[in-house]
Amino acid sequence: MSSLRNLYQFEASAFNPIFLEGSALSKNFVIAERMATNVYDGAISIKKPGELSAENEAIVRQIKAMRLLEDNWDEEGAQSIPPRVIESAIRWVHRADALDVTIYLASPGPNQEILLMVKEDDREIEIILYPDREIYLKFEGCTFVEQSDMKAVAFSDLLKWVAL
Amino acid sequence: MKKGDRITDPEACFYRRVYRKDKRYIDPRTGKFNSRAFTPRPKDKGFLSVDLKRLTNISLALNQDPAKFVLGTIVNRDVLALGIESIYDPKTLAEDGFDNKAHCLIGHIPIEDESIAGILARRAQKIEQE
Repeated sequence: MSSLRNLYQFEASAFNPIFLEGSALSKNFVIAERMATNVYDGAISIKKPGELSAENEAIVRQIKAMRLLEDNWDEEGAQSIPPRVIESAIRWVHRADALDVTIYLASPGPNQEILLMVKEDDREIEIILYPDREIYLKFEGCTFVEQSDMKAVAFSDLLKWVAL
Repeated sequence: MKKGDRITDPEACFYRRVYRKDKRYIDPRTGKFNSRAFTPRPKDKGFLSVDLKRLTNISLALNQDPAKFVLGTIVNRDVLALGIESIYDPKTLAEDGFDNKAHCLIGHIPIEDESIAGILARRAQKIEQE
C-alpha cells in the first residue's frame, strides 16, 4: 500500500468512514469530500495526479470524435466543428478536471460550436465554445439565471455556483 | 391564416424536429433535449423552424423518418413569454421546393442571446416514440 502513496488519488463517492474504516486509509489516500455526479453511489475511481478522471476522459473522446462531423451532419444544415473549437473544448475539460469537476455532457452544435455542461441537481452551467467567442449560461431548473463571457469570471468561481 | 401572420393563441403548440442519431442533441441520461436542439441553423437567420401541431401530424413532422428524428413540443405561451413571436410561414412546392402547410417560424432570436435556446430546450416536451 505504501508504494501507492503520492501516486494515486482516491476518490470515494459518498464517503462512509465506517465502511472504509477511514482513518487508516486516509494516511495513504486523499479522500475527496465531493461526490462525483456521474459515478454510481459506492463506486470508487483511482487516477494518477495529472490524469483525467475516467468520466472526463470519456468526454474528451466524445469531443475528439466531433472531428468526424462534416457539414450538414444533422441533416438540417449544421456546420462542421473547426479543430480550434475542439482543442479549446478539450482544454476546458482539463481545467475542470484539475478542479476535480466532471463535465456532465458534451454536445456539438449547429453553428460550429461545442456545448459543455456542468450539472449538480437542478443547477446547470452551459459552456458554449464558438470559434470567435466563449460564453457561459447558468440555469436553475428551467429558469435562466445569467449569461456572460467566459473571460468575465474565474472558472473556479463559476464552477462553485453549481455546488452551492 | 396567411403567410406572415403572427400566432397569438398562447395555447397553440408547435413541433420542433430534432436530430436524434447518436443522441447528439439529447442528454443520454435524462433523455431531455439540450440547448443545441433549439439553436437556429446558419441558414435560418435567427428563426427557429417548427410546425404548427394542429396543421400536421407526428409522421409528417418527423419527415417520415423516426429513426433520424424525434419531436419536441413547444407551447406558444412559453414563446411569447420570451418576448419573441411565432409566425405562420407555410412552404409550397412552387416557391420552396417542398410542401409544408404547417411550417412556422419562432424568433427573432439574436445570435448573441443563448438563453432562449436554453429555456426552450428545458421547457420542450419530448414525444416518446416506440
